[in-house]
Amino acid sequence: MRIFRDLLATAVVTLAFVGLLEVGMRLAGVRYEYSFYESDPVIYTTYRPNAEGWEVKEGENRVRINSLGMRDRERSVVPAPGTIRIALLGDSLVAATQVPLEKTMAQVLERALNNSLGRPGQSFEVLNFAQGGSTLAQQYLMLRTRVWDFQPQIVMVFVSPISVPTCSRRLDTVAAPKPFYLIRDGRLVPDQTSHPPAAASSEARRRNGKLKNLMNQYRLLLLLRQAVGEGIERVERVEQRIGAAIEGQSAEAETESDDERYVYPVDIWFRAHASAEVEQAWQVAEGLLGRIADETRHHEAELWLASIGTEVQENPNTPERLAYLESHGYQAVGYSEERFAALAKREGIPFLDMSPRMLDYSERNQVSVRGFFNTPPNSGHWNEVGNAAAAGILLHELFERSAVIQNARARSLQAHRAGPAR
Amino acid sequence: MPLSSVEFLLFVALSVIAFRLSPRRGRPHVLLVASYGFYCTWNPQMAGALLGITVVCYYAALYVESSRGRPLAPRITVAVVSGLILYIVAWKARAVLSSGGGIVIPLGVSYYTFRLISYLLDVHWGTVPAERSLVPFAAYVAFFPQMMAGPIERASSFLPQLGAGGTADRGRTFEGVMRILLGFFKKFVVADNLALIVDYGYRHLGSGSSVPSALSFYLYPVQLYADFSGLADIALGVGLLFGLKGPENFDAPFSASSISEYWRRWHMTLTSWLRDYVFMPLRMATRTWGTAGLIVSVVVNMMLIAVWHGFTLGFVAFGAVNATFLVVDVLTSARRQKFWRRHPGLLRAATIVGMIVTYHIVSLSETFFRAPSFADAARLLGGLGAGLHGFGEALAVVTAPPNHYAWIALPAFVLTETADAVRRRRGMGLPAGLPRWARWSAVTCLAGAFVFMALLFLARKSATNPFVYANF
Amino acid sequence: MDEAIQQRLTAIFRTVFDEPDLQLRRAMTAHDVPAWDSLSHITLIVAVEREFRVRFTTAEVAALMNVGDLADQISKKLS
Repeated sequence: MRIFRDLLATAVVTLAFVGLLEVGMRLAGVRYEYSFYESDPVIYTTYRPNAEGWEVKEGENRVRINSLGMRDRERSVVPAPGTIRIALLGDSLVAATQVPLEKTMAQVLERALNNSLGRPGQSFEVLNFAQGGSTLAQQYLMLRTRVWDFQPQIVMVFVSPISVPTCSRRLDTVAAPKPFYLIRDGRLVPDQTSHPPAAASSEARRRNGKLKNLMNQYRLLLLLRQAVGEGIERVERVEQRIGAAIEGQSAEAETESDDERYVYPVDIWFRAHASAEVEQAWQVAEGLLGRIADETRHHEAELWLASIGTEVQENPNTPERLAYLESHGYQAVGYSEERFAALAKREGIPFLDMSPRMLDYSERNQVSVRGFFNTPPNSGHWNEVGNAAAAGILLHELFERSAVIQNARARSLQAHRAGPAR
Repeated sequence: MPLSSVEFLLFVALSVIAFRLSPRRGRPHVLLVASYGFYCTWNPQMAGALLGITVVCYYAALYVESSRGRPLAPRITVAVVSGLILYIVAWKARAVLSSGGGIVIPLGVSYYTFRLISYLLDVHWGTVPAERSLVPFAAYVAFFPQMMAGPIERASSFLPQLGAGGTADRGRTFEGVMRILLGFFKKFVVADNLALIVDYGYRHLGSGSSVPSALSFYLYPVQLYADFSGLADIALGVGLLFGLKGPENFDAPFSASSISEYWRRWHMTLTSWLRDYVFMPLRMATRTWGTAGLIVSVVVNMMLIAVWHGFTLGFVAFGAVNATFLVVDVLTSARRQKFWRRHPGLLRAATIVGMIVTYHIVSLSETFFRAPSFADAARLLGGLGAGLHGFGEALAVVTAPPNHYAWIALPAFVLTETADAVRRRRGMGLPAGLPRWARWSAVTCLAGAFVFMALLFLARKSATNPFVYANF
Repeated sequence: MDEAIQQRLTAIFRTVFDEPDLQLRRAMTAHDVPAWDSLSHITLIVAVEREFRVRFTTAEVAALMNVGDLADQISKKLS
């Protein structure tokens, strides 16, 4: 009998010690990556509704996903009458989990629109459907299966340096399950070898969701998750190296001789590539954007294409920026931006190149639009200043070129001229 | 492989297991293979150099012992010892001349050459018998836990223990793991966090407020201590896992009430090495010079400690400050002793004042150690008198989130000092006579802490602050 | 220890270390006397050299482990 008592006592003390470790981690501010995603049968990887946690890599910010799986305020699917809705599709730059919700570009834009054009019977909502790591295929599927329910009048798609590489399996740099498309006989078709992840069933999603939410509560569990993830990655890397050594090739030789093997997204952004792989990816990207344009026309909404460039293009430190561009042989405006502009022209939709305007803002005000206290300056995602600047640029462009907004303006002026509310 | 990595933990675990499973006579071989294996993960070519130097010294010592009395023996000693000194000086000079830190001194050069010099001189003087077999000797020279930052162990303490196969009982295993954990805790929770604050201070030296200067001035000694004594704890802890008890390097240095006492408690293996092989011989040679001889010996000793770290102006200044205060202390100590004997009531207060004064002297000298340039050191010291304006804002910045997390270093330091005090009083083993559940709990909690630490290392994605003393 | 040597040594120790009641033993080392450190050690050696009119080499000093060794060295040099 004594042995059971001793075992119990040992278990209690050990548990208390583990609790102490958890408390210690909190006191010391030790944080690991939180879990915000879940598997999805159509989009494969999406934000998990009601997930809560912290962004820890850049800045330090509390993040909450709303009950509809958006990094946004709570929204109702059905709009209130007189609401003008702008739907944003994009990746982590637009989701902006590094800054508080109210400081994101989407929210700043929403407030600005409501302040300038809002009145009884006319309000604005900027719905943020952007997700970290989101690809064009995922954005297209999200538009088709989710966004139209919200009845937006304007849809804005933001492309970035990961947009084209993530259209090709081989060039893909984002490590999360996603659907792919191919060009067959000149037509865009889904890649039949893509399958939703096994955990996409609603049963699995519920179970995993509960587990992940639990993990987000305890630093020790997050530590375990990250340690296991890193451990697996390292084992894989070692296996790769052993495999390469056995095959008698060194990793260096491979990447150097076969330059399509791994092409950096930044390089694809800036330069035209002769390789078939990259051209394929472009055709898929253009195909998907074409489909998005068709969809939007069908729903009689206004589509915008906006491009967000690389960090260096928004770096106000001119000597640094020019040195980088020169050393790589890049132009200030990338090949991608020109190609996207051409596509937008073909489709008859407005195109907005964010980078030159962000650089202009950054230089005029001598501020960094990217970078946080725990990152090098002018790197990574937009900080609060960057998000505000981007919102300002969008506001300006919408006023200048958006039919929907100009109509809303006209109505506002009319109502104003007609006098106070009757 | 870096110390704070899962690979290192695994490496230690595997070497210890291999060591303990081997029969006593095979253990030096296991240790030798492990040590050279460890060294090769840093620099295979220098491992070859280490082996070559070890073999030369091994044969030199055997010859010197067998030919004692003959004229060639002392010449061999002088030649080999000079060669070793030249070797270490050449590396230090090269490191300084290739400015910008292009060349880093190969791992452990400062530590293993000192082991070899001490061994040769001991054999020459007859205080230690020459080791008859190469394998344990080579294992002593290349002993990997002490390769990164000491302690500098003497052959007379290491070789007998290795010869006996190390005493690896459960008590030592427990103590070893505890010390390793303590060492990493000191490094990550105390030293790294204080480094954040001290770095902040050094980046804002010209700001016109005294806060950055004061923070760096008062916190850097603690940071350096935590970093360095943490490394020593890890080294000694790993040694204990092999059943080998190494020499302590620190003995509550901040409790010293005079600068002489401080140097008897800080980096003790280096200071005792210099005492036995530099100070004593030098003092003997100058014993007829009276006070001048004493001053010369103290200054030379201190300057050697300083340039052992590197041949930069900063280290020289570090040495000069210490040497000055040491000389003053030594020359006045007799008179001070007489004074305290006549006024015993004042002794308690004097001890506390002495501790505070000593801390200031230490911090002053270490400012030259840490400051990237002479100008920065001067700015820091000047900044101390900058007055209290801007105090509020500067303090607010340093304590605002997320910077406020760094301050956990201070309560953590209290914890580690308590642990050190316990260690000095009764060791870090399990107390005897504990009930069974308490013993089991101690083991499970220790294992849990170890696993936790391994997970922390595994989960790291980017490089972090290297240990300060591993660069010497 | 030789009686004569012990008496003279005791006098030296008491003066150098300022301990009027110090009693010598063969096994005594620096640990046993608070004022006996590396600095005063040489003062002690110098005093011993003067008193007994002998000379030590560095090697001999390095080999001294305790008071007994010191007394033996002195005996050897006097004989």
